[in-house]
Amino acid sequence: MEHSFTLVLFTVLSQLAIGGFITLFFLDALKGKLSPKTSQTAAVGVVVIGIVAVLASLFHLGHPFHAAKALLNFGHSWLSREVIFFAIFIVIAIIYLFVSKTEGGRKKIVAGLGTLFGILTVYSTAMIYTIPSMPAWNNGTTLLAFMLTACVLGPLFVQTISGFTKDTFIDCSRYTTTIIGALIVVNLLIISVAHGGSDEAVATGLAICTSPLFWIKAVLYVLAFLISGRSICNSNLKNTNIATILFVLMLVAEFLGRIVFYATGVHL
Amino acid sequence: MANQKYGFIISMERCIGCNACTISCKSYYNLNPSINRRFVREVEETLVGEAKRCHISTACNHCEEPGCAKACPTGAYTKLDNGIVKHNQDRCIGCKMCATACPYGVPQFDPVKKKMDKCSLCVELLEVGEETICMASCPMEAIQVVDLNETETIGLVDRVNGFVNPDITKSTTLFKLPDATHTVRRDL
Amino acid sequence: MGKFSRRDFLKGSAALGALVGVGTGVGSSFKKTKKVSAAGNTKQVFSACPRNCYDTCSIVTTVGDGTIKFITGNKNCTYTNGRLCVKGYTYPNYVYSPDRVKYPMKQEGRGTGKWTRITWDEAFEMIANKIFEIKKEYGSTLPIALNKYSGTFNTLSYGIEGTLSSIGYTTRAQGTPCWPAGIDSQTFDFGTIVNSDPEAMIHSKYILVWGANPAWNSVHSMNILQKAKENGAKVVVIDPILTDTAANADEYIEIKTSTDGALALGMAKYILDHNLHDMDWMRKNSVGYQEYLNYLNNNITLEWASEKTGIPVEVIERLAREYAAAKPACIWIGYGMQRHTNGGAAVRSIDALAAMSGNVGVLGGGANYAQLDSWLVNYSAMAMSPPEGSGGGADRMININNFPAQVLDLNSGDPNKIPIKMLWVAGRNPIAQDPETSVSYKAFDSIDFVVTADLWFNETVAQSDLVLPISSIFETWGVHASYWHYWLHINEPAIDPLYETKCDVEIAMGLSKKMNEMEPGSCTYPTDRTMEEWAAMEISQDFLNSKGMTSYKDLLKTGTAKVEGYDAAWADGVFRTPSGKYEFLSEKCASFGHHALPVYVEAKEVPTDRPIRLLTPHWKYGLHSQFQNLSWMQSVHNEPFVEIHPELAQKKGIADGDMVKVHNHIGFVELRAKHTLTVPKDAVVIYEAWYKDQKFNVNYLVEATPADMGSCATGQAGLAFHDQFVNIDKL
Repeated sequence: MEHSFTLVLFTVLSQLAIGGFITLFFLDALKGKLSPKTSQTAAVGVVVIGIVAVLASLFHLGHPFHAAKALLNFGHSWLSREVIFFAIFIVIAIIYLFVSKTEGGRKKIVAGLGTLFGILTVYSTAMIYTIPSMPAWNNGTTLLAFMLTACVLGPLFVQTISGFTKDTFIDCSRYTTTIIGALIVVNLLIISVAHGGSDEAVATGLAICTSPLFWIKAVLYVLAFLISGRSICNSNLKNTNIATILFVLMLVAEFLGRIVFYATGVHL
Repeated sequence: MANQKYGFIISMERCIGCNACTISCKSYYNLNPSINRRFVREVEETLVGEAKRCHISTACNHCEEPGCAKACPTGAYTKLDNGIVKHNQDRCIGCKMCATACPYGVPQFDPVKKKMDKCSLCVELLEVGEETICMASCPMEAIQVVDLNETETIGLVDRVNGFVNPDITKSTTLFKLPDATHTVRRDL
Repeated sequence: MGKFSRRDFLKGSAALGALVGVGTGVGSSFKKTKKVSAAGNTKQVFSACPRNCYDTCSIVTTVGDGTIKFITGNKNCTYTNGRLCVKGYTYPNYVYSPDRVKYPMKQEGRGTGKWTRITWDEAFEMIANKIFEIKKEYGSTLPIALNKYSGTFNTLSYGIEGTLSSIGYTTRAQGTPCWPAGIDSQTFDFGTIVNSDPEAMIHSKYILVWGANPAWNSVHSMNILQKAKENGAKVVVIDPILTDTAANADEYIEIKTSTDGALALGMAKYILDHNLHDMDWMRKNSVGYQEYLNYLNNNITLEWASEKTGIPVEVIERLAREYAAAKPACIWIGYGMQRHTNGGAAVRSIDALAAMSGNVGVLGGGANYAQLDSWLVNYSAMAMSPPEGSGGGADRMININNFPAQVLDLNSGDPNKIPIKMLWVAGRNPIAQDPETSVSYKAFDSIDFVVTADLWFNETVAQSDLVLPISSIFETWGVHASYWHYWLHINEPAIDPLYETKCDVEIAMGLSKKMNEMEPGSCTYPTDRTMEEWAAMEISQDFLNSKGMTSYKDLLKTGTAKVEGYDAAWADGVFRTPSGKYEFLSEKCASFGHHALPVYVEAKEVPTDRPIRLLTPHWKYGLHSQFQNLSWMQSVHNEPFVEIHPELAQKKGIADGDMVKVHNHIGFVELRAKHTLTVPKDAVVIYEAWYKDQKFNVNYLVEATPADMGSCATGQAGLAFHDQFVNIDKL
């Protein structure tokens, strides 16, 4: 595959940032459950991670200094749309830094807009790869997988931050367990869809199943699923330390999974 | 004015899979050694009748609905009225998305220019009434570039078993399939 | 440069093409082209490809600012129609490849790669000292051996032989690995090799391509075959391998390897039985036909031929009927089918088939093998006499086809044998191309001093003490002829020699100058000629007269001209045999230990412990060890492979793409298996080539088994390259 590690970095980090921001939208802007320190720190984290993601993506380009040209084909290109949506998302995240201390509608509107552009970004990223020339990618599993990455990493990220800011622990164990479970199902789905597809898709399916990284990811998923599931009914496990462990496990799993994604894509 | 619609017709009956087209094109355009604008592939031996060696030689297929143009974030690709899918290298930033999106994997990354590169259909030669380099170089005269609006296409096909489905991006390349060869094989 | 000059160039070449046959107009128009191009600081010159190839193409080279920009075929040559082959198109890459040998260099310890740049003067002095030392010790230059063959067929490259002749009597690798059995056959039958002009195949109604693969090795003839086919001719390919030539033919017949003679005799028998033979032609033009027909009557049946060849009786009957009924019908006898222990005999049987069916001497007919009649050159760079008082009496010939073993024998320490102390290699890569690679290494080890002149750091150069950088054909002059078509080309330098490269004749002149400085009178090679003068001397007066030319300068106007009169070889019925007739029965053949008649000779037996035949034909992206090493070629292919039939592969548990070991009692190679239905079920196919920086060399598996014929016309028997047997196992 032509795709370099920079794309792995960009997609996982951008999805982490977006997931984190959406978590802020729910927990902070809508429900006000986070301390200002936590929401501020998390928002700074989202912005920093977003910028790192953008910088990483530039290394993928032959001419990084002409990256601005990538905005030019918004009318047709999902990549242009992704770039624009994500740029808007980062700008909104920065604005959120300033409005997060305030109360009321303005904060909600900003957070809501950020959430919208975040979702549009993840959707655009997925659509870039949902193309007929890559049969194994050319179905809904790509979008599902990308969205779930954001869904699983966002809350864990904010929980981890809240640990650093000594904030009260917000229990998301049911949610997290459900999403990890969904990720396991989607991965099974990806493999079975690939095996039922064209020759190239079958080759992708085979490559995934024979990739050691995939199996490490699988072990991490199961481990995270068990820990998270156990924490639903075990209050001893409801703390930020466990959330941090889960965050690290899932972040590593998603990185490995994304490496496998790019490495096993078989072109027509 | 632009009533022509240029496109390739490949005679698989004549093609011997020698890659003279690939190399002469590479030479004329002084391409980086690692990249090519034409591709000669083996196709299944039982494509027509009894098993034999079969090849397909293609370049950019100058599609009606080019995947590269949709994928390119800079709008470097244009489908011209004359049928050519033009790549404007000045606009290209080398993101390689076109290579992924093209079902044929046509655009190639030039490691020195750090930009993508693909067949231009030798438009500057066509414009002055010359043949494209591949057409003029093919020792078997298997490659033709024609005005598809003015060309009889009976007996030609747009798809070859084992090659990418042309419907995805509406490839304009047409093929004359090889005739079957009668073969007498030894019983062992 | 850029688009501007390229466009001009194409206009130029179109103008050249349009002028074919216009005669006197050609010169002035070409000048006009040059003038137009001069505005863009661009010029065009005629080059010629010197490779060992049927097609020997005339080339138009476009040069801008002293650099080759593009090359294409010369449209003045109707054989190529202005098109080259894949190998030819790589020449700009070949010339400017960073891998070229750039300077004279000496190696500290063979195979170490520790090369040090030296000056030409130092190189010549090293060589001269070695020659003088040998002369002093042995009283002659016989311990100096030359191994040269077909790396370049520029006729000026015969200056390599001239170099050795000019220092005294030496030891020569004599013969040819390529085609000698077939040459002998045709020498016995016709008197020599003369094929009909391949462009005349267009007139044929039926073409049997027998053991040749022009799709890969003579692509311009392939186009002629295609056009003949489109004209209504039936093209039938007889070959153990379903080649790309076969794939483009009307019919392919898989013959059991090395049984071609049986098929030809079976067909002749059917033709005779059905009274389809040309008795009048035989009576008028041949001797021994009655004995031949008796042999067919008494010894040959179709059932026998079928059993030998693996081809059903009814197919042989149909083939014979079609061949005899189509007038004219042509047979192209390939070189592959004579690389056997019965290859010469097989070619004689095919010659006889063409002759008895009345297809010799007719337009669109013939038993076409090769020719050297168009080589109307003076070999002026070659013809050198030894210095006065040279010891040794005469050159000593050793067999090029068993060179390493013969060297080892001479160097075994036997005091009665004059050893080989110094080896000069030029125009050849023997370690890559000679059979029994392991023995080649040993032979090189037994020689004190090896000097190799080449363009590339190949395996042979690696086993040398001194390498001399050779200029490509684009950097020097040349005169080139083909052994198939009838065009004679001139080659003008397109650019100045790169780095410190020299052509073979310049090396001869430089060495001569040095030797005579050190010891006056020790070398006879002339030193006062320019390369242009050498080229001018090369073109024979006969050729100039036949084309109405006054000097080589006339040839420079078109780059090429055709030797006429060969549309139908032997049409005059004057054969060059002792009898002056076609000889079905050849006493000369008998005098070389063969049967006088074109009888069947049994194929080499398949050894029970190595039941799989190994075929090692030519590769489409290379010519022997040339071209496949170039980066352009690597961009389309860069991995050796073995072709294996899926049925054989299944028996051996070998999947498509598996790494396998092909091995026999003398060596092994490891490479990837490729399943294909186009090879026989009892053979595997590995194409011979030199891949840069890869260990692959198929000749580790090839024994120096002699073919049956070759010693009459070429001094040494040929090589049975295709009578090799192996085992194959999954790694």
